[in-house]
Amino acid sequence: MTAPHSEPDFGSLHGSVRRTGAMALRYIYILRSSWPRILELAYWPMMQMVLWGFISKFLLTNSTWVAQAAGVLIAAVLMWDVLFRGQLGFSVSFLEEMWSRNLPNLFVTPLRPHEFIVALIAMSMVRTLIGVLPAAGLAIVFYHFSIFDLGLPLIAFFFNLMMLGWSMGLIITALILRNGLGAESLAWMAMFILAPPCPGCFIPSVPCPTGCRPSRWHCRRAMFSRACARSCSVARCAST
Amino acid sequence: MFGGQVRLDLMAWSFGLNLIYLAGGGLFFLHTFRIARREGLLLHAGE
Repeated sequence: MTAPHSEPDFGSLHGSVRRTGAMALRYIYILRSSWPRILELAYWPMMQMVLWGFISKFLLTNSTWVAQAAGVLIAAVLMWDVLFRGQLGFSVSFLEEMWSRNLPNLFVTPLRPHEFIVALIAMSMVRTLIGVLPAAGLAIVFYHFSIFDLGLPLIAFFFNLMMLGWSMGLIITALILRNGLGAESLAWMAMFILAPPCPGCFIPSVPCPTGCRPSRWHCRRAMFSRACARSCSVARCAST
Repeated sequence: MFGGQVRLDLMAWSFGLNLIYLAGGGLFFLHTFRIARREGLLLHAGE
């Protein structure tokens, strides 16, 4: 006597959630089984934190601008890493499917493209947290600067940055899908295209060439980064 | 760092713009995926 056969659930929300969860679980298993992948996620944000933290400490005693806004560079580095890792986490999960030539196998299943996107977004969140949380901890230990002093606005900043990272990730993965692995390096370099016209994360707008300033004025991310840095100062003052 | 305040208006602007970017990116990805499926690019992915 055979076991009753359960029909695959193609159209319902429950089936969609199960497929999305299965994809996310797949990526978590891949990550969990490979310590180099986890190390690689945390390595670069921590190196950035060490570099910019010590630069910040040096400038604190040699620059009145930094002295007025202690922690601005460290907060900027952390927020930039949230954005960059958000985009990279999305793209690299997709690229792993490309490298293993698993895309045809995935899409002969009932998995829908939008379910795949949601799973990539979930993994982007996990990868970003693995990458950025150790760097934030390092900032607390080495520089006595806690990004968490921001409080609830930090959650809004985080999600805003992640959403922009996901948008870039979607565009990059679409380009890679269309043009093949020759476009793979876009995943690592595309976010830096945004950095020059929107450098509000590290420097104010004053040194920018005049021609760049209108694009920067329209770049809400620059204002948003400065807003984040300002609120870091509020939290820091409140804690001392 | 200098003003010591959170600008909620800028936050709302950022969120609105990001929703637009996310929707645009999603539509672009789905459109490209449809083309890839039609032209058989999924089978040759990874080469």
